[in-house]
Amino acid sequence: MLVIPSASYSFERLTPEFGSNYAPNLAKTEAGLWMEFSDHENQLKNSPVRINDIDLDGYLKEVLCKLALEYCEDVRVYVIRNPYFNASMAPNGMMQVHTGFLLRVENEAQLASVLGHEIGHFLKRHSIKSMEDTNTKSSFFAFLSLGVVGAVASGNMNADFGRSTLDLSNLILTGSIFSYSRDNEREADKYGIQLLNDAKLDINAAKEIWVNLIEEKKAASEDITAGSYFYATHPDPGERINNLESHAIALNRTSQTSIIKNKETYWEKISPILPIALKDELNLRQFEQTEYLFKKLLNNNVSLGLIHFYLGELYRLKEIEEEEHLIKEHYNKATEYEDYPAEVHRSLGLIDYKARNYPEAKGHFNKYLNMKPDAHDKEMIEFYINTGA
Amino acid sequence: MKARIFLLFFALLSTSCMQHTVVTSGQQTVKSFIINPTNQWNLIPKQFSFAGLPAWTVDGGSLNSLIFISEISHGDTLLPSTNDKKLDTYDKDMLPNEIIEFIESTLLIYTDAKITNRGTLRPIKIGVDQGFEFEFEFVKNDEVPRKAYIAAASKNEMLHLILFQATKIHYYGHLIDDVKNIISSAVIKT
Repeated sequence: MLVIPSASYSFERLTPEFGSNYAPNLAKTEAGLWMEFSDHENQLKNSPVRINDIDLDGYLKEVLCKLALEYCEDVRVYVIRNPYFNASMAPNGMMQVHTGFLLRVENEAQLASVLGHEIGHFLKRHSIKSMEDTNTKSSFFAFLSLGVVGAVASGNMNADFGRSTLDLSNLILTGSIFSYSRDNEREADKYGIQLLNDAKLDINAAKEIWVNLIEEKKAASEDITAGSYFYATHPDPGERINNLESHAIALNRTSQTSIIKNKETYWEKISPILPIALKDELNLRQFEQTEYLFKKLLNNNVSLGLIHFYLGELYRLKEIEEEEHLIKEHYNKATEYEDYPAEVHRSLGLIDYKARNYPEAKGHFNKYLNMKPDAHDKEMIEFYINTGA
Repeated sequence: MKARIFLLFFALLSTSCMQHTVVTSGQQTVKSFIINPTNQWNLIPKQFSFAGLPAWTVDGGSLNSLIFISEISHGDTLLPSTNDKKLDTYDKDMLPNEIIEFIESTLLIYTDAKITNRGTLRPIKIGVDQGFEFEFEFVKNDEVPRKAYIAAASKNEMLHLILFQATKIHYYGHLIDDVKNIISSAVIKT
């Protein structure tokens, strides 16, 4: 179902396959799947990987309801601490969005385009259809057995570092067992842009996400589809951009489209998750990609002290001689903003300590401890202070 | 194809009868560590241990394990690198705070483990060598809350560390004193 951009293409509206407050017939396979996911959802509510921020959750629900309208109560959205770009929808209406996704979204319209895409999967019952497909079912069981054995045969790298992650719902959520077909993805993209338009948000936001992701990968000289299960199972991002553009052109012809993006509201709402999202992103050690992303975040004029700190951290960890001046440049810049973290002084202290600039190191370490008297590494920092010549 | 299926079945079957060797109390040498456990542990077979590293357990590797990672030289990764996971490398000049960053990044990339709570980072002696200890809570994709304890030191420009991990509920608290006794008995070979 490749959409070829043409002047004659007209946008045909998609419709849901069930009414609101839907519950599957208990005699059907679908009911079992819903039950499995309901169990998972109950665990997820109290999971340590869930970011439980009442304000942020409320904001995401608000955006979701603008799109889902009468289906608002049928879909629940959870923020999951995961640095990789992804969002997912379970058959029972449980939606998960990763912190790595929220970090890459620039405004409410872009957020809504992805939430709309996931709602599209739900309203078109894509996961149920995938399960009901005979071929998928057989590959599902084949994958499950191969997955178990494969983990063992490959040395089972997780075996004694916690339980293996081979539980059913987790695998389904990560897309490892079955993925939506590419046609399902195209249909969800179309549904997403339709809902975005109905909610009177900028429909161009849908393609902007993909343009940004391609640019980010280019910064790391990487092919966007390389080594990623997510990209490998979804339509080519270039194709998605073309399709989304065609939908936008067609919608523009037939309806009054909006340019509302709600950028400020978005950044205000997600600012509480930034410290954890930035740290996790840096921990992936994908320096070129992360550098591109962090520099882009500076344009949002939000949490600048924090973002300059993490740019300084990035250059400190990168250890490139030509970029050494950027480390202190960003740390110093960070201190110009009220929201700068105490850790700026710890990092400056570590640099000075290693360079044997002990008085300067001591000054920074003391500032760090003054700002954060209950720091978890207080005893270690005091050790540096006391062992500096 | 048949050979592959046989191999996979063999691997699957072997998980049900894998043999752990008892590690008795008394002096033991594990890689660069000489230690003196006072209680009995079990050696996890290499093919089932975390990243194939020497590891002990009391109740089974998924519930608790004591992992020995030693002789990490300048430029080495903490764990054996795989093709699809580019890991951070050790620098002989790293300070304890930086070693923690190095470990944290490795665990995230290698096992998807995210630190959810940081305990105390403080200096300790391992034998005669200056080292540090660090406690943290973490979670992986299975969402089971776990706790870990690290004792580490740099010697001869190489990093040597012992990592204990267990489920936060019951097993960590049950074994941490025993683990700390083992650490207090540890000496890093020259």
